[in-house]
Amino acid sequence: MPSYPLDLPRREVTASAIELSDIQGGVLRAYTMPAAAYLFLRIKDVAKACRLLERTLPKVMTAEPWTTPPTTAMNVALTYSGLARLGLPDDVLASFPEAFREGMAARAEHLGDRGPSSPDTWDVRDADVLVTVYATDSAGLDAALAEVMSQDLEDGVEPVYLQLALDRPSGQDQFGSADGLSQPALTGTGVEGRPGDGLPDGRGGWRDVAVGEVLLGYPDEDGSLPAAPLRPFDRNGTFVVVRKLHTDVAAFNRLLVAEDYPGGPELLAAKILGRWPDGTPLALSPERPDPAIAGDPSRVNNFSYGEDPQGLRCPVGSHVRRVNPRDSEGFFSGRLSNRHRIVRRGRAYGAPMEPGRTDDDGVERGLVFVSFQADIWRQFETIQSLWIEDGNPFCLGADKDPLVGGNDAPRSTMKIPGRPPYFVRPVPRLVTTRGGAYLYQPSMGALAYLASLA
Amino acid sequence: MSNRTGTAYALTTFARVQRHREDELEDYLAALPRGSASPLARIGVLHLSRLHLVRELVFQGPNQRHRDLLRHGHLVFTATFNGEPGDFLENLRTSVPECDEWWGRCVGYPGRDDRGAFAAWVRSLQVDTSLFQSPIPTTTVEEVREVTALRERVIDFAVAAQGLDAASLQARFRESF
Amino acid sequence: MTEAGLAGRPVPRPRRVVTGGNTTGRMTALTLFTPIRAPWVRLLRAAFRVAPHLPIRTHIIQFNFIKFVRWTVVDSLDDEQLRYSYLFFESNFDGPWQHYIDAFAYVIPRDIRAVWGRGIDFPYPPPAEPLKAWIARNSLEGGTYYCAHEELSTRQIQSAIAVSEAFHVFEAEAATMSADQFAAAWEQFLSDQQAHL
Repeated sequence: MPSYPLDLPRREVTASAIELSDIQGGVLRAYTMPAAAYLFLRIKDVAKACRLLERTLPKVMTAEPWTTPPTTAMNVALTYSGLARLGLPDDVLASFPEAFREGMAARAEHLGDRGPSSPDTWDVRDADVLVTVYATDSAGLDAALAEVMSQDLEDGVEPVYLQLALDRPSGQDQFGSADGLSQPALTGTGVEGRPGDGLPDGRGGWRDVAVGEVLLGYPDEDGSLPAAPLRPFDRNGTFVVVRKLHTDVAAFNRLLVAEDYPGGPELLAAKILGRWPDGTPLALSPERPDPAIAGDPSRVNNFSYGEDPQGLRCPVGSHVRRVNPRDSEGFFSGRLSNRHRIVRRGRAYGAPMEPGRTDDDGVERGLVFVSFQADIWRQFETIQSLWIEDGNPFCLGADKDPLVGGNDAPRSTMKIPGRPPYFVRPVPRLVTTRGGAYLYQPSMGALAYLASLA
Repeated sequence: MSNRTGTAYALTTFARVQRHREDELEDYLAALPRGSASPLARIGVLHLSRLHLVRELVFQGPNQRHRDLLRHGHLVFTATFNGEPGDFLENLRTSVPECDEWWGRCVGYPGRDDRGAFAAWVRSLQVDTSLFQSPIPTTTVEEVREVTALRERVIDFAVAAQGLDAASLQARFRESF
Repeated sequence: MTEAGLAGRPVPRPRRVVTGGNTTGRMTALTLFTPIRAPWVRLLRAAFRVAPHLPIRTHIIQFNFIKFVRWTVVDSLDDEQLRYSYLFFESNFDGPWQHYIDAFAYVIPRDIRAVWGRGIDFPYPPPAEPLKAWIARNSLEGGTYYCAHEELSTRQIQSAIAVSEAFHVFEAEAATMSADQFAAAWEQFLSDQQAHL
């Protein structure tokens, strides 16, 4: 999902009480650079890899505020196999959570990554390290990447996979929709959230999400420090979920045309996503897009579902309502959705498809989904396996997310509430998992510690 | 009667396991087939059942003044079903020979040959439920299957009927239901 | 049997780690067996007797993910000398137990305290994490578990019941309608029942 459309003013930044210089950048505050390269590496020689990491440290971007936006940035994260390979003590390794230790591929069944999304088909699944490089454009990215690759790797690491990504200037995703507008407003980060970014405060307004929901070592929504690995990984670090998601835009376009949806194809697309292409939330404007809302940062995300329990405005099963239910029925004014928020920082890959085209143009395109959270199981995996790959929390039985769910069954259905309701069936598979990993993004101090291991 | 809610009955039983047979009983239970292959699936009125051992009592921490240490393992068998416990026990006795495997490793089990003895023994294991609740207290297993199947058919019809004119809709409805 | 009484007897075998015996299909059976402090046993029994007549029923059942739940006060076990009475709890619900506990901890913490708070060292919710840790320590997970409708959630069953009842009414009323009346009535039926479809 893009960070946000460029025509929306950026979120305001003020002073923060969090140890920003010890935290890697891009988590608490999004980079504005649309180009990114995801370089997956395998550790070949531990001592040489540690030397390389040591040399690289000064180039890793931290979360310290900038005065002029950077033109490039680089961050480093490791999988469990990477941490194990570097030789962390057994007790430290064992203190990492089970989901992270198992890795994403091993948990495919739980995540719904089966059939065409099965790890057997993945482009990338086993790696030790992920280096992510950001730049303002493709040329800048090539230069930054060349610099990283020209590093004397000394056989310390070898590249396993490289994925390039570039968000569209409009900020729209591959389906031509404005997803990615909603990011949790986190306490104490100095980044002011937009109304609606946070959590329902029970009084019709919003409050910030506890930063410990994303960053280890700080209080979370339960009021205590989140469970964390042993030192030095207990603070200023976070867990990363990366998923290469292939998007079948032609199939999406075909669906819009082929379904005889009474409201028309544009409305059908909006009902599937939960927003109009310009970002107008259906919850606020169910019949047409509204540029006055879409262009206003204080309104574009400022909505809740309490007044629309049946989903007549924004379907209960639409994508944005599933992945962030807010105060939807069954979530008790947000009390049962508050602990499942994630920060999303992904980028699109592959050239956009010609609008409206219904046949495959042979171009590989999709989204590199990246999320940050303190607890992979409670946050990412709950959204993926309970809210996307199932419908039961929303009283939708086994119906999956129409946009990103693993819809392979002939009876895959999306119910669009209305008078009368409309049933989309079959919902085709629009997104396929092509790779991914669970990683840990260490603090700067923890990176230095890792570099010192050998 | 606290064992009931609606037409549903909650049977809760505890049986003392014979000495040194706890491990093999645990292994036996763990190996039992699940789902529709479970021996318990033979009892049509049975919603839920659980079989497991209590071998030690969890110590709650320093504020627990006394520590209860069990001398024996105890087999817990719980069952939730609609109808009379007498009928359920008879069904269990005749359809589930596996009772001999789990209760046969417990003290005092009389076997399944005698209807009265079997029922009386299981009743002797019973502890009355203090509170039993359900949002579906009068729905039987059979009814669950029927309503679920009907709902599927209704949705299938709703999908197929989208866009039909009135006459075609009615005709199709009459064919389908 | 208190610890003192066991002096000279063999040390009990450490607990075997058994997991997974309490899940099947969508279902989880959360089973707890926890000591109740003596002064509270009678009060708890009385509370359970009264409970079916109180809103506590709606408090638990409102969550729509519990199929059947039972509490049993156990005063004795065969050939054991127990210093405490025990509360046996078995809740059968669909979904991960941690999310189930979030519901209790964040939505009805007072009810939870009322029932288990008379136990020993019970971590009062909210917050939820210490309560989850307490439950993880006490959860009995071995053995086997059967559910006749393990792939169906509570909500699915409730929706199916609602749709079926409404459908039978519709079917009966529609039998004598003209095509146009039928079409309008069908649309009305769908609109009224859409939350369950």
